[in-house]
Amino acid sequence: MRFLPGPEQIQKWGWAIAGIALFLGLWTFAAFRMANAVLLPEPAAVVQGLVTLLEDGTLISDVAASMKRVLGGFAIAAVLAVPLALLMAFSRPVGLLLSPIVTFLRPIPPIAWIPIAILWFGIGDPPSYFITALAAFFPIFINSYAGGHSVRPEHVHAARSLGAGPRALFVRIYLPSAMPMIATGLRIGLGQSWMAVVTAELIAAHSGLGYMIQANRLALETGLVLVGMCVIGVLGAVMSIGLEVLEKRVLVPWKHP
Amino acid sequence: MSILAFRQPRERAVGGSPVAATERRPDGQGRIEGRGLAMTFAARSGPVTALESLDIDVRPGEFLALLGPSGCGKSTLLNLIAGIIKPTSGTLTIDGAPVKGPNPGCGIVFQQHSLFPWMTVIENVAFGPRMLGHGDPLSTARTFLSLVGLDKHARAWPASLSGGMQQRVGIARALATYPPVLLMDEPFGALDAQTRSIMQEELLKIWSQFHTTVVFVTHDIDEAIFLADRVVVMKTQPGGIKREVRIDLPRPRDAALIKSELFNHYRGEIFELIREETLKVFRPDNGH
Ligand SMILES: Nc1ncnc2c1ncn2[C@@H]1O[C@H](COP(=O)(O)OP(=O)(O)O)[C@@H](O)[C@H]1O
Ligand SMILES: [Mg+2]
Repeated sequence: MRFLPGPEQIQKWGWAIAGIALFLGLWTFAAFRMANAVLLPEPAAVVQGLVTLLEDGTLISDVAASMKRVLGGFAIAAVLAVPLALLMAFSRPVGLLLSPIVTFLRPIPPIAWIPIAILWFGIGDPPSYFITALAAFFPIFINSYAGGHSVRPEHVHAARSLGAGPRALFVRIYLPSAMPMIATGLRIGLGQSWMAVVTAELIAAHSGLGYMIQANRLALETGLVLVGMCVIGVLGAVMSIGLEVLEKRVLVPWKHP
Repeated sequence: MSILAFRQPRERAVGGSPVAATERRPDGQGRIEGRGLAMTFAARSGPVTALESLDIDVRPGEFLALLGPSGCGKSTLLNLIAGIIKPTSGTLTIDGAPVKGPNPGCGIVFQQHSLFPWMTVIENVAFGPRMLGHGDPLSTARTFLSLVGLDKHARAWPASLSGGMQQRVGIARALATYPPVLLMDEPFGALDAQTRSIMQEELLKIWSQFHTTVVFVTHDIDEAIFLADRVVVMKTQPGGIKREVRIDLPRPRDAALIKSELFNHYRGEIFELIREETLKVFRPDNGH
């Protein structure tokens, strides 16, 4: 119903724009005071760099390379983590069997896996997929596992008293009960995966945004490094918002009427 | 002949009944028989005996209220009948068949928050007919929603409804599979007094159109008397049945009945029974 932004909406946007303007202002001021384009170029120079990289097409291909790795790794993680977590939540033996392994693997940060990923997969796409999948896996897993435990007994009893069998119970009661937590896990997992891809590309790839900022650092092209960083920030935010929309419209619409 | 006459609805349907299909449910079903029921829970502080050697019989089509102070085992008894928990000892049958687990023979209405929040109101009500493979679950759901006066809210999420409306949806959902037995655990306990009184009248109207056996848990004396054919007053420590009181108030009943002399008589009688039990909880040692 609300096509036009209400006063509250306008106010929200007003504050957001003011915040960004303040940030850019402080940045310009700092760059002006520092007067050293290698240490801190001013925003205008970054915009200049952005235009250059867009024109020669390298930015698009770096973005595409990183995106592919993130979405691929994220998809692998989601497909593995959600069913595994639910299986562990619903089956006591499986839960008891696997939870020590998870407890032990979880604290290892994705970056610590990079050396072994290179040994196993070499340099390029495969180790990056491995790292992004690993980074997304645990947040998705942990939240889905908690979601699997969050079913209300009343719902199960009500469903059974209405004739639901084991299959219907799983699909229509357990899964939707877990869905809010699964969605949260997916959102966190995608963010982690995005952070991990940059790390992986710094070391284990010859393309992508991580590789791009690393290469430009070596060339002392600080402006282009900042272009890379800004693109990483903006794309991360866009993906997070995209997943939030998916969550509200598709995964858990009843929580956001 | 006389049996058929006895199975007629005891109240005339009020207004045009939207449920033309109630005859689908065969008569004479919904007899509950419990013998020597006991229930002991293993709590952290040791075993808790919630019920001890309890016998209960509910006739088909009877409206029974379980009344007593909190902690006397009302919910435990209801959950036993529903098959949600298994008795430590004793037998429990519905129409001769042992109760094995929650099943479509027993509709359940909980105190609150039992609607599936991820389904719209109409999908909640259609859930049972869908699971049981009844033809056209949505039109059945629509029929039952209009029975509780909520057809306008069919497409709403449960969370957007008031507590009273949610309970009406819960009743519609439980009835939509035409269960011989309807179990209600303080279904109006979370509602304000006004809404509660209206819901009680509505429930009696709806019940009059079905031949459903109802077991209704409450700790409200007036509610029990107003609704029930028979009030089972429960005792504490350990839980069990203290006394049964037949309620010979005429039907159909409306809210004005609460002021009648007979109603007052029942209230006084039951109040004394409950008071004894409640005092026992406060002074556990001078048990009589
Ligand atoms: N799952 C359980 N575990 C341990 N004790 C329980 C459990 N359910 C009920 N009880 C105990 O059994 C007794 C009766 O409880 P309940 O049937 O819920 O009473 P009511 O519904 O009349 O308030 C109480 O003392 C309660 O603490
Ligand atoms: Mg209770």
